Amino acid sequence: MIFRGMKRLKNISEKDGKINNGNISELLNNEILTPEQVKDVRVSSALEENLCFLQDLLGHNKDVIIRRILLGTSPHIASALIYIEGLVDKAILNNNIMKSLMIEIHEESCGSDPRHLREYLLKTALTVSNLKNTHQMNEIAISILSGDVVLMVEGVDDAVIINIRGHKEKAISEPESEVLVRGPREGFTETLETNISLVRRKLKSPNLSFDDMLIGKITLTEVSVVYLKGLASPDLVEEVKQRLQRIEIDGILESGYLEEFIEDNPYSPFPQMHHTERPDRIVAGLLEGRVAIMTDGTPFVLMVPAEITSFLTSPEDYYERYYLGTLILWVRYISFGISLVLPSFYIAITTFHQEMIPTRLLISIASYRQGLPFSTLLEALLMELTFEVLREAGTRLPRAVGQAVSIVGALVIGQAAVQAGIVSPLMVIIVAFTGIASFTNPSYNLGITMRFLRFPLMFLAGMLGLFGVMFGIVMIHIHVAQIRSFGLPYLSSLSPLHWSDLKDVLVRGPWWSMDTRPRELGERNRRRQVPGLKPSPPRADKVGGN
Amino acid sequence: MRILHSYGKFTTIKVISLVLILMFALGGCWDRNELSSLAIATGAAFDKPQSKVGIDMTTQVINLDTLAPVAVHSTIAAPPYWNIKTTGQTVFDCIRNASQQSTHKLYWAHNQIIVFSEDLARESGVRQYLDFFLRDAEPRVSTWVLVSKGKASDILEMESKLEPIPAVNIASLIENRKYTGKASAVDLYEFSNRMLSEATAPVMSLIELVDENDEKIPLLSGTAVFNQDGKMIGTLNELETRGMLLAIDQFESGLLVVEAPDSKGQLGIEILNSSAKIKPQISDGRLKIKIDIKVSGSLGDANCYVDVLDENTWNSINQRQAEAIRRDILLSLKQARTLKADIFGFGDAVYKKYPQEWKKMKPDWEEIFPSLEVEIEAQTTLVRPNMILQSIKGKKEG
Repeated sequence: MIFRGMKRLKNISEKDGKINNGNISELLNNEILTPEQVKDVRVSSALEENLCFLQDLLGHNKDVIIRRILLGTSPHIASALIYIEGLVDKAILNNNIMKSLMIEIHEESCGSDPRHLREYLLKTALTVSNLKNTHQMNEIAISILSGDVVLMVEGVDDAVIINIRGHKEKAISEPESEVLVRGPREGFTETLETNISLVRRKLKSPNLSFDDMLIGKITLTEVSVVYLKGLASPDLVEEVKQRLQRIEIDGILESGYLEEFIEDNPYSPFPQMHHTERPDRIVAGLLEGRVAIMTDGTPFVLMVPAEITSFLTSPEDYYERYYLGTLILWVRYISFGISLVLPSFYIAITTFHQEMIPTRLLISIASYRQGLPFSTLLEALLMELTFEVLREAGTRLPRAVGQAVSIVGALVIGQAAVQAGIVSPLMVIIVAFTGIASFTNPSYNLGITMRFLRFPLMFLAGMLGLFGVMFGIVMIHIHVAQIRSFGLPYLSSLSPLHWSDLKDVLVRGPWWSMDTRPRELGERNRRRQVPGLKPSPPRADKVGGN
Repeated sequence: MRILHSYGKFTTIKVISLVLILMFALGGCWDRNELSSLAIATGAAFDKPQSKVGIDMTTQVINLDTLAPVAVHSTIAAPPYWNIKTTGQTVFDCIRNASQQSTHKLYWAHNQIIVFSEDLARESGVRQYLDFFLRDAEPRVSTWVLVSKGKASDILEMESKLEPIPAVNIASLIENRKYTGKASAVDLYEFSNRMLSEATAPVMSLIELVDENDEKIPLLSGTAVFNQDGKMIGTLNELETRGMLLAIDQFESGLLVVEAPDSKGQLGIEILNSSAKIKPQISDGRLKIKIDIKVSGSLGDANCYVDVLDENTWNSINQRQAEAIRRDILLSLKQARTLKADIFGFGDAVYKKYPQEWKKMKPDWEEIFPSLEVEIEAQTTLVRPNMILQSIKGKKEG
C-alpha cells in the first residue's frame, strides 16, 4: 500500500535518522497519521528515545500502558513493556512475562553484550509461545494497536513483539441469520483469529492458505483471503487480492464495505457474492474452488464467485437426504418466482386480462372489489408498502416488542383494512403469500433484490398488463445473463449449460453421484470423489446369515 | 480468469430508455379496465322484435354488489343479476345502447349463453345475430347457443335454487347433459362450423320453461334443427337427440332403459363408452351410408329380479342394449328424413371419401338425403353388473 501525504516525516527521518518528537505531535494535530507513515523509522538503541516516540505516536491516552522495568539485579538493565490495556491477556502478562523478566532473570545470563541479551530474552527468558523481533517502528505500532505486548530493552536496537492478545470476545454461538434444523450449530464470531481457527478445524489441509492484508487507513482492519491451493484458480485468487488491494478507505467496519468495492457490476441489484456466518458453508465453497474473504470485526465472511443458483441452496440441502433436498430446492425455486411476480401477475390479469380468469373466480374477485376506492395497482402498492414497513419494524425492534408488531400488523392491516373497505381480502392474501414466499429464500441478499424488483414489475403490470410483466422479466433475464461474478457467468451451469453441474441445480443429487466439482470453478481438479460409491450392501443369501 | 465483460453504460441506458418510450407507443391493442368498472355479461337473449325492424336484445349482467361478502357491504335484497333490455339496428348497436342504462361497460369475455326465441329462429333465422359474437374480440366461440320454446328473455329470469345467476345456471345444465344424452350441447364454434358446411344441418340445444308446482323451471330437452340459411325448421325429441349424438360420436354418457329379458320390469344400462363412425360406400353407383357404432355399458339398476350369473340372461340384456341403440338412431334418422336436414353430416363424410361423386350429388343433396340407404351396425358389450350380482329376491319371484 502506498500512502501519500507523509513527505514531512520522511524528510525528517532521512536527514539524520533521528526522531524529532515535536514533529509527530504537530503532525497528529493536523492530519490523520497511520503507522505506515513511520515505516522508515527504525528502533534506536536508546530506550527512552523509543519510548518517547511511541508515546507521542500512540498519544498520552489512558489505555496506552508503558511499564518500565529493570532486568536482572546488577547491573540493572532498563527496559519497558508497551501494550494497550484491555487488548492483552493480563494473566499471561503477569505470570509469564513480568515474572520471568523481573524475578527469574539472572545477571550472569544477561551479560553486557546487547546481542547476547536479545538472544537470551527470545530463547530463554520469555515463556510465551508467539514471539518475534523487529526493528521497524511501524510494525511495532501496529502490533501494539492490535493487542500485542512489545518489549524494548536499553542498548538493544530492536524490539520483541509478544502475541498474548486476549481481548473480550463473544463466545461461538449459533448463527442467527442462517438457522438450520440439521447441521453444525457454530457460527463465525467477530474475531478473525477465531474465524480462521473455525475453518482450519474443518479443513485440516496443508493446502489451506490465508493471505492477510490490512485495509482501512485508520481502522487497519485485518482481511484474510482464504482458499485451497491447488483447487482454487490462481488467477481468481490473484484477482481477488488485486481488487482488495486497490481499496483505500478510512475504515472497514463490515464486509459489506468490501463487497461494494470489489463486485463486478456495481449498478446491478443482484448480489454478486455470498456472505455467510456459517463455517460449513465457507468450507463447502472452498472445496468447490471458491475463495473466501474474512474480515476482522464481523462474523460475515464473503465468498466469491457466486452464481444465482447457489444463492438458492442452503447447506441443509446437502445434509438431509437427497429426496428432501431436491423437493425443498424446488419449493424454493417456485417461491423465488412467486416472490418476484405474483403481485404483478395479479394486477395484470385483474386489470387487463379478465378473460383469463375462470368465470366463478372472476365473479368472486370482482364482487370483493366492489366499492373499493383505489385501483388494483395502487392497492397493491399500498399493501406491499405496508408489508415492508411491518417487516422493517419487526427486524429493528427488540424481540419482545416484535410480537406486538406482528399482532398489530395482522389485525390492523389484515382484518381492519378489509373490513373498512380499503383493500380487498384477495390482495391481502396475495401480498401475504408473496411475503411468506420471499422468506423461503436462504440468502438474505438475494431476497432483498426480489423485494426491490417487485415494484418496477408491479408498475409495468399496472401500465401494460402481462405484456409489461413479460417485458420486465425479459429485461431482468437479459441483465442476469450478462453479469458475471469474478468472471463466472451469473447464470452459470444453466447458461452456459453444464450437464454435469445440474446435479446441484435441478436436483440435489445423492452424494455418491456427485463425483465431480462444478465445471467452471473446479477445472483444475475436477474429481471430488472416487466414482461408483453408490452403496450396494451384500445380499442376505451371500452373507450367509439367517 | 476471463477478461471481465465490460459494456458501455451510456449506450445501455440509451437503449433501455428508447425501448421504454417505444413500449408505450407500440403497445397496440391494450386496454386497462378495473374490475369494479366492468359489468360482466353472462347471457344474451334475442326475441322477436316488437317493431318490424331492429333487434330486441336482453343482456344479463352480474350485479356484483349483491354477491359481495357481508363483511364488506350491507346485504342488498336484490337479485344478483340485472337484465338490460335494449333495442338497436344491429347486435353491436344494442350492446352499445346498453351504456345508456348501465354505468359499467359490458364485458363479454365471460358470456355463457346466447338464447333465441323459437319464433325468431323460425321466422328470421339466427345468422345475422351471430356475426357480432364471432367478429368481436371479447366474446368466445365456446359460448353455448340455444333455442327457447317461449320468450328467450324469460330464460334469463329463471333463478335456480342452487345457482343464483340464471345464465350460469343454464350453462351448467348444458354441461350436465352428458349424464343423460337427452339434449344436445352446441357452442358457437360448432354451430358456425355446421353453418359453413355445404350439407350438414346446424343444430342448437332446446330449452323450455315447464310448470312444476306453480313454479316455472327451465328444462333442457331435445334439439332444434336449422337449415343452411340459419332458419329453424324443426326439433328432435329426447330419444331422437340421443340417437343423433350416438351416431355423430358426441355421446358422452347416459342411461338406456330397456325391458328385462323376461319382461318383468326395466333395467337401466349406463353407457360407459361409445364410439361411432360414419362410413359412406358407393357400390354399383348406389350410395350407402354405414354407421359403425361400438358401445360398452354396465348394468346400472334393475327394478325387478335379474340373474346376471346366467349367461343367457346376460347376453340377452346385451342384445337389448344393442337394440335400444339401433332404435334411437333409427328414430333420429326418421325425423331427419322428415325434416330433410342432414344433421349427421353424411354429406361431409361423402365429400371426404368421394369428392368427385360429391360434386354431382351436392345440388340435389336435399333430395338424395331422405332416400339414402343407411345401415346401422351396433356392437355392444356389457362390462359388469357393478357391486351386486343378484337383485334382492322377492318370495314370489324366481
